[in-house]
Amino acid sequence: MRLISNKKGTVFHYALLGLFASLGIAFLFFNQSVGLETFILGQWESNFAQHYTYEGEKVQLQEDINMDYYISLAINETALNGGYAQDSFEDIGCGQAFELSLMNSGEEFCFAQINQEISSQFASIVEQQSQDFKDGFEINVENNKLNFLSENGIKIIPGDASFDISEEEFACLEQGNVPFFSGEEYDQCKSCPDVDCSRYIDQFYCDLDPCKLGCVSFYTNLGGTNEYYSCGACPDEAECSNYINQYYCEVDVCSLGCKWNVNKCEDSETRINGEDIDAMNILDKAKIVSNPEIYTQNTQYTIDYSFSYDLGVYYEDYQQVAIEAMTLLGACQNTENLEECLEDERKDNWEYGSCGSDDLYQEDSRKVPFCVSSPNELQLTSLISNSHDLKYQFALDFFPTEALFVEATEVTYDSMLNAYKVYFTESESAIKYKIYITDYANLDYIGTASQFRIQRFGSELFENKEIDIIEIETDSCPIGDGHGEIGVAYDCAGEILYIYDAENLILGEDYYFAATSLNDDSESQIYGFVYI
Amino acid sequence: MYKKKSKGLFAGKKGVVDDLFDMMFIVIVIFFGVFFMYFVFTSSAATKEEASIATVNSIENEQILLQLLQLKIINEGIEYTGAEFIIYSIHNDESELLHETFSELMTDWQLTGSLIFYKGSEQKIEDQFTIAYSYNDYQDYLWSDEAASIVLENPATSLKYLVEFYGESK
Repeated sequence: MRLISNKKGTVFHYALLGLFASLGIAFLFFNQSVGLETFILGQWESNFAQHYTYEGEKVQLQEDINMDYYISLAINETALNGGYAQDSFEDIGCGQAFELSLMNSGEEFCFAQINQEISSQFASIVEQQSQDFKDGFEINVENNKLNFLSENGIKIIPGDASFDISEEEFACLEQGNVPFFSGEEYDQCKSCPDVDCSRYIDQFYCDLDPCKLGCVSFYTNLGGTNEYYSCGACPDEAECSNYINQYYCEVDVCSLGCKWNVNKCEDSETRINGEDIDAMNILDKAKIVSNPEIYTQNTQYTIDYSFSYDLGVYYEDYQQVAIEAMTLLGACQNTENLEECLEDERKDNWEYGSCGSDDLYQEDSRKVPFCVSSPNELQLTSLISNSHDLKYQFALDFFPTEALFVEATEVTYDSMLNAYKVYFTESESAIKYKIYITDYANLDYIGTASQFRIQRFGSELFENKEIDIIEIETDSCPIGDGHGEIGVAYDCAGEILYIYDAENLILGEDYYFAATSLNDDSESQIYGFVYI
Repeated sequence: MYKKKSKGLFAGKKGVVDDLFDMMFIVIVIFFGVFFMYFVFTSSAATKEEASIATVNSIENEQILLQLLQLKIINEGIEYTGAEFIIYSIHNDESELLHETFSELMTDWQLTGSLIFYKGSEQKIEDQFTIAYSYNDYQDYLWSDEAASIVLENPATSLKYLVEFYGESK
């Protein structure tokens, strides 16, 4: 009997048998290559976590480091500008001295709202140094807390995105330069030459366009496939439909105003993503150029970045400095010997001059520069060195609010001129001087001229001469055989000489001379009399 | 296919071969079916388990790395985050300080693995700065798994430093 004779349908049994047998054998030997192991629950989620979520965390971590550094920089720079941001440095109401901001002018104080100034300085630093917030950010200060919020967040580029350029090329691009090649080998790194798009070596560099020439890749369609042909500037009569794929359409290098609609590139009122890629740093841009699908794929991950920093301690510290400055002004503003007063009154944390220079007294028209260390010993941390003390740098104007004493030092009689030569000390703050003459003997009198006028019993003479400082002769002091001119004042090496006409005075009588200074509406007291 | 009535297994000659082949067919189909199922489930389950563990390890490594970079470290009275301290230490060539600080942290926090610091942004042997690890665990965990890594940039100098974390083998 033959096996399959008269056994209709049996063949199907054997066929099934063979099928199962072959499947079993196939799985036995090739089970590793079938690919069933790739169907793991949570695989997509874990990939997402790894390449986007954790990547986002890492980006935030780096931004936190940057922000800490920027805020530290802003606090330091603001303190060194006397509490003002660099932008407002020129507009400080009290002016400048020694290239530092003056914190007072007369009785007006110009201490800053330091929190606002730090915030302004911080914004300026972020604008200059950070690539991630080119789309904009908001900064405000509330309750001494600086709050930073990015407007459009930070777009996360997958952590595993790679690009096929050498480390040297990348380092060169990062410096803002462009690599030059000898053949196809990297040769040297130079700044962007003044050339056109055709000099870019390949499609990667054309699309990356590190020299910002506005280049676009041109393709040929051979055998139904698009192949890179050349790099050139955007054609004058380009249309959105000329972009060959979604990536070029959305990047829209030629700024045609395009958007991708399912499978074609169409005109649009606004660019969709164009600004993003222009603002990206070179690393992210290189990743996207190498992996354009990142830009157009459905998965987009953006983190909302915000940052908060408590400025309370810096606010209080600056207030303390302001109080110390006012105290110092109160103590020394109306003293003639400013340096001596400052030496006695300044606190240990107050040094003369700008920060970093020697602690040497400097003065210009009673304006003195100071470098003041934080009264609360605040320190700023640094990632490149040990922490350093917070220091404020500014100048104070000790121009007196009242006229300062001047002292008549000597009086001689010049018979040739028939005049008295009265010498007295000068005052930087004086706008006028008065010379008093009396026949009343009270050499040690210290007090106002008006009081003296009242108390001189039996005296007939108490006259004065007013001298405006602009009338003082500065370069013709009559020394040696010189006599000078009656009624003229001379600047004689730190002293003022006034030649007083003796014509109306009685020869042989004793006359006493004193001097005072005038400053706006006030007059200094008489500080003793001199006589021959 | 089956006879409705049978007086005995081999009572009649007709159908005996059919029955025999039916039975053999069932046995063989069951055999190969079981064979097939066994390999499908055992092999893929093992592979899946390996892949899952690798994935979990990889995520765990990322978490540990981030945790280490965000820990507060106080050095000479100044508070740093782990990431800032790495930048500070590498910039100032403080390899011993970096090694000791992070080894101690990992031991205290029972974070088993090795943390490798590079002076550049690439994994180059000549750029390897120092390694921190939970005590007595250095050999076990180094290079044994896929690393979690981050490139930290010093904003003051723009220099970049690679940091890798190799976690415990599972």
